[in-house]
Amino acid sequence: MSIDHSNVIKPSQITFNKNSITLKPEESVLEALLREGHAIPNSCRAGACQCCLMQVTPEGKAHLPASSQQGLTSPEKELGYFLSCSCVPSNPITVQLPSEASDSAITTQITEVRPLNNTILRVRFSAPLDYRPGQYLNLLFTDDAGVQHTRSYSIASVPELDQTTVELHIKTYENGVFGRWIKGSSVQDQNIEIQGPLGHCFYSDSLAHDNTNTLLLAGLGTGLAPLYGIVRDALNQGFDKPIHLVAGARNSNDIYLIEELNKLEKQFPNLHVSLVALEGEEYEGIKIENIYDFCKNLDIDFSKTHAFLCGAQSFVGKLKKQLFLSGTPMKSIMSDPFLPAKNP
Amino acid sequence: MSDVSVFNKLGGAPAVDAAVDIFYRKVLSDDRISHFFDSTDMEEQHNKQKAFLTMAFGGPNNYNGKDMREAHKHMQLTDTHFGAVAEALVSTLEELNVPKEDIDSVVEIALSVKDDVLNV
Repeated sequence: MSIDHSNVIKPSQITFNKNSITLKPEESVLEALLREGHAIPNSCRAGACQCCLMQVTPEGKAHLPASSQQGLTSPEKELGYFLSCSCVPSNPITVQLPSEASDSAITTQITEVRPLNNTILRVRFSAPLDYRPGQYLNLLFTDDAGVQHTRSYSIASVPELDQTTVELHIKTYENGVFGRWIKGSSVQDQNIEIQGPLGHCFYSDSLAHDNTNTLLLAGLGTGLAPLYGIVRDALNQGFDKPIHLVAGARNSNDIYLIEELNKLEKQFPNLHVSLVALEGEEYEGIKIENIYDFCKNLDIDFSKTHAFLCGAQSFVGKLKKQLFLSGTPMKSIMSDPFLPAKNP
Repeated sequence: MSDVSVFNKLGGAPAVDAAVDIFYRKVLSDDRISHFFDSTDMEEQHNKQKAFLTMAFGGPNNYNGKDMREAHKHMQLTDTHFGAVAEALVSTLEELNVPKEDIDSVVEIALSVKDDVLNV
């Protein structure tokens, strides 16, 4: 006796940890992985709780059904995140848990260290990294005493504009370990290990096509570093609706990158740069004003604003709440809160 | 306590996504309860509100009485606090033009966890 297979849909396959699993008809990625004994976090299995979040390789992004990305932010979608409980793929895909994405480190050499103001250094190195401006890297370095340290810094460069040159803005402290290390004599020739890229705070091309009508980028201190990357990325990708970039600091002396920002503003008529400090002298157009009030008084439709907030955790948290209560959807507020380093 | 028919009728996970911002904004703006959220991480809290709404909408969830009691134990909650959350829930659904009978179903589910939340 023969069985007619002609109208049976060809089962799809997934690859996880180098194991191939053939999906049963209508079976989700989560169900198949659990059936094979893999421990995948999960809870509601209805696409609501997001516990079963996984990541597909870049080639597989096109094969994810839209329902498997319901409720995710645009950067999450762009990075290939999906809800494995709601994913019945039509083609073979390779999947992993999100945390596995970038835990390997590469070694490179620092090519440039230049002060941007009294405390902030521009550090450049060359690395063939596949990153989005606004993401961050972990720098691993060993101090004079042989102790290894890890510090996280946001990326200010844009791969399409700066090629393989990666730029970081690093605030140094009197007794900070990185400051002492980088100011050491032969540091320019020293190797540095980097991990990453990490983080979800970056521009997505979808913002040019959805109902977003304004970008608001607000940062305190070196929170400007990721924003400088994000704003140039957005402009380079052709975002032509208004962009408000607000760079803040405690004292007007601490505002940096003024020349570069002015140049960018002249080049792109849709970009509005504001420099805001809580105290100090007014110069170069710096306004002495509270940054929260300044943002509140911007003449923009907050419900159609997509925001990027970077800097100290307290600042990011406070401004996020203010924007959310002004009508900005939670999903439209990307943030990169800087957390204090834990020594060593 | 899961009533998938109500959850599906309301529109499933996308309906929860549509409701959660409105609901959380109301909760944060209500002086009777906003102080409970002052020091919490907004994204984490947003996810919790989403889990709560999924449960109240009759969706699949892992809520159980013991967790509910444990999570709210030290907050000394009263009828006023519970009422404020219930009001936020109802006005959110009204804003989304959910029919009254469905709002009633949601309120019924929310009320079923009241004793656990208030630890009585």
